[in-house]
Amino acid sequence: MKSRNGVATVCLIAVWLLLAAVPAWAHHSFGAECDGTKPVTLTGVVTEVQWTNPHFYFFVDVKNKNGAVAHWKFEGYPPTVLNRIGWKRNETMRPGDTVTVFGWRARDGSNWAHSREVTFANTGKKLQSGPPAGNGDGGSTPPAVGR
Amino acid sequence: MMNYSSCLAALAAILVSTSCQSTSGHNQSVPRTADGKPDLSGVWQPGSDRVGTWEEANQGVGVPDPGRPPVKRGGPPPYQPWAAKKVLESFNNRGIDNPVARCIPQLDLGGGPLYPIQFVQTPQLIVILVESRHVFRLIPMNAKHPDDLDPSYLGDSVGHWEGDTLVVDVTGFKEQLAGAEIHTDAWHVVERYTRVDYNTINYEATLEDPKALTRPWTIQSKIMLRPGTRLQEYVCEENNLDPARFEQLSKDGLVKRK
Repeated sequence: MKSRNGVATVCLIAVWLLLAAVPAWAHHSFGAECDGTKPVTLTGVVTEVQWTNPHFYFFVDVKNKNGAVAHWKFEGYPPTVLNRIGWKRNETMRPGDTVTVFGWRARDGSNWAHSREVTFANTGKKLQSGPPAGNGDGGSTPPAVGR
Repeated sequence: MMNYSSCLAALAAILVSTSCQSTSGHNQSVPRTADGKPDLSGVWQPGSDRVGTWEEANQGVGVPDPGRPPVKRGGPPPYQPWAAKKVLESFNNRGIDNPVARCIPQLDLGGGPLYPIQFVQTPQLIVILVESRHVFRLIPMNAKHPDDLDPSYLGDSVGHWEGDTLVVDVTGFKEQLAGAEIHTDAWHVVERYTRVDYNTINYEATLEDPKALTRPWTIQSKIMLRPGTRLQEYVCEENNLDPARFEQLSKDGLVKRK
C-alpha cells in the first residue's frame, strides 16, 4: 500500500517539471533526436544550404587530421527565425564558405547534429543558428503534477 | 517676482512636459479603438517580458535566455493519475510523440517566444495570426459557440470584453494525450488578455478538464509589443523530416529512457 501510494506520489509530485521544461515553441523534441551530453564543434566547408521549414539544414565537409573528408548535416531554426536574428538567405552562408559549427550530436551517432552557433571564417562573425540543448528533453528529473 | 501669467505659463510647461513623458518611450498610454476598447492591434512577442524591438528584446538571439521560463504556471498541473501517467510516458519517450513534430497546430498557451503573433481587431471580430505553423484564430465578439461544433486542434473561440480585459472562451477540442498540452475533449480554456500599458499585454489562461484534471489551474505570461516586426510564411510541412527520423530512432531503441 505504501509503495502504491509512493508511486502515486511520485507521479503526482512530478509532471510540472516536464511541462516547464518542454517549451511549446520547439518544433520537435531536441531530446528525441539529439544528445545534450554530446556537444560537438566542427570546422569545414559548406556544400549546401536548405532554407526550408520547419528547419533549415546545411551540409559541411569536414576534414580529419588524416585528410579524410566527412560529410556532416546540421539542423537549425526555420528561415523566419533566422531572418529576425541576422541571417540573410543568399548572403550569410553560401557553398564554399568555411564555417565552425557548435552543436550537439544525433542519438544515432550519424554525422548529423543540431546546430546552435555558426562562426564564419571570412568575417569572424558568430550567429545563433538553433535553439539551446534541452528543448523537449524534459531534463533528467521525472515530471511532477499537483493535486 | 513671478506674476499670475508667468505662473500659469510655468504650470502649463510642467503639464506639457509631464504629458510628453507619459506618451513617449515605455510610458505611452494604452491605445483605444473608436468604441473605447483597448486596441490590441499590432505584432507581439508572446512569452517575453522585455520591452523594445525584436532585436533589442532578444539581443540578437531570437529567444529568451535559456533557463528563464517566460510562462508562469499556477503550481503543478493537477492531473488525474491516468493523465499523469501519460505525461510520464511522454517524458520517458523524450517528447518524441509531441504532435508539434508532425506540424499539428497547438494553442501554445502563454506563448512561444520564438515566433511573433499579430492581433487584427474589429468590434465584431478579433483575429490572432500566429506565425508558427501559420495558424489563425478567429474570435467572434459577443457570440455563442456553434451547436454543431466538430472537435478541432485549436478549439472554437468566442470573446467579450470585461472592462478593459478581452476574455476568450475556447472549447470544442480534439483529445490529445501526448505532447505539452495533454487534455481530453472536455478541455475548456478561458483566456484573459489585458493591455496594461503601451508595450505589455498581461495574459492569463484558466484550464479546466474534468476528465483529466482534478481542478482548474492557471498559467500566466506577458505578451510584448514588437514594433517593426512582420509575420512571415511558415509552412511546417515543407521539409519536415522529423516523423520519419523519429520513427527510425524509436525502432532503433535510441529514444526511450532506460
